[in-house]
Amino acid sequence: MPILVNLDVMLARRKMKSKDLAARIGITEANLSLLKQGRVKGVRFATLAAICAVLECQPGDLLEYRADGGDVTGK
Amino acid sequence: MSLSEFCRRHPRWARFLTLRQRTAQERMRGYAGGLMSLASLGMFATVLGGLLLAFAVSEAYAGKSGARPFLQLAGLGPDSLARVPPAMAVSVVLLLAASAFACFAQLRRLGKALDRGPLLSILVASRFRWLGHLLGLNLFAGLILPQLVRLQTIRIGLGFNSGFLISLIGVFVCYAVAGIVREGVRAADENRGFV
Repeated sequence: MPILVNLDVMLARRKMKSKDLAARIGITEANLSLLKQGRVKGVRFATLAAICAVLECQPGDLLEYRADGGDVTGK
Repeated sequence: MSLSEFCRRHPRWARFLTLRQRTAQERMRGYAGGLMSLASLGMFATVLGGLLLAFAVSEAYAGKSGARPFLQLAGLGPDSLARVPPAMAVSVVLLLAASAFACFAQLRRLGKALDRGPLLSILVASRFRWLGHLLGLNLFAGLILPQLVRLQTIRIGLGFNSGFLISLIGVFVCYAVAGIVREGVRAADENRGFV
């Protein structure tokens, strides 16, 4: 998948633990871990907005497109 | 005064009126229990009816006239009895009972799947699909097997009645529900991939 999730980078910048973020945005730690690893099919706008609000960042800070990242269909 | 307003004003009465909102899963479990009971009753009645009918047919061949009313249920007139071999007549009755029994047994399995597991599952879809198959088979058996008996009298006639049409609709409904459940399972799986 050519979309990379830089959530771990933002978490490190804000010095926040995954556990705290998961609790604040209302998703499970397991799901947040999957999101950090980029192993999800998609992210809901509501989840993205909550993450941006907590980490005080823009969606572009969390997601990155790399053309050589693989199949665009994600299959 | 509406019912909800009445219950708000009189909370003691509201407790007696079962106003608790049941979830879809709980509602379906209630229906599934009824379905299982109905299917069990049908299985029992089919076994009992099939055996009685087979017994009545064999008795009629033995020359006992008391079995005549039962034979009319199987579509066997006194004139056809003389031409139909006893083994064939009994086999047809037993096969018809067996196909009806298979439908009720599958209905019970469907009820069990709805009662014990998640509503949207491949198992439920599979149970609906098999119920459709067996209903279709039962329909086919009900149409073809009696003709085998009447073939002996060289009178072939295929008929469509309301029961046939309702069963045919039932077959299509089962296939449609199986398809809907399968699509629901796929959508739920896909939704789980989103966070």
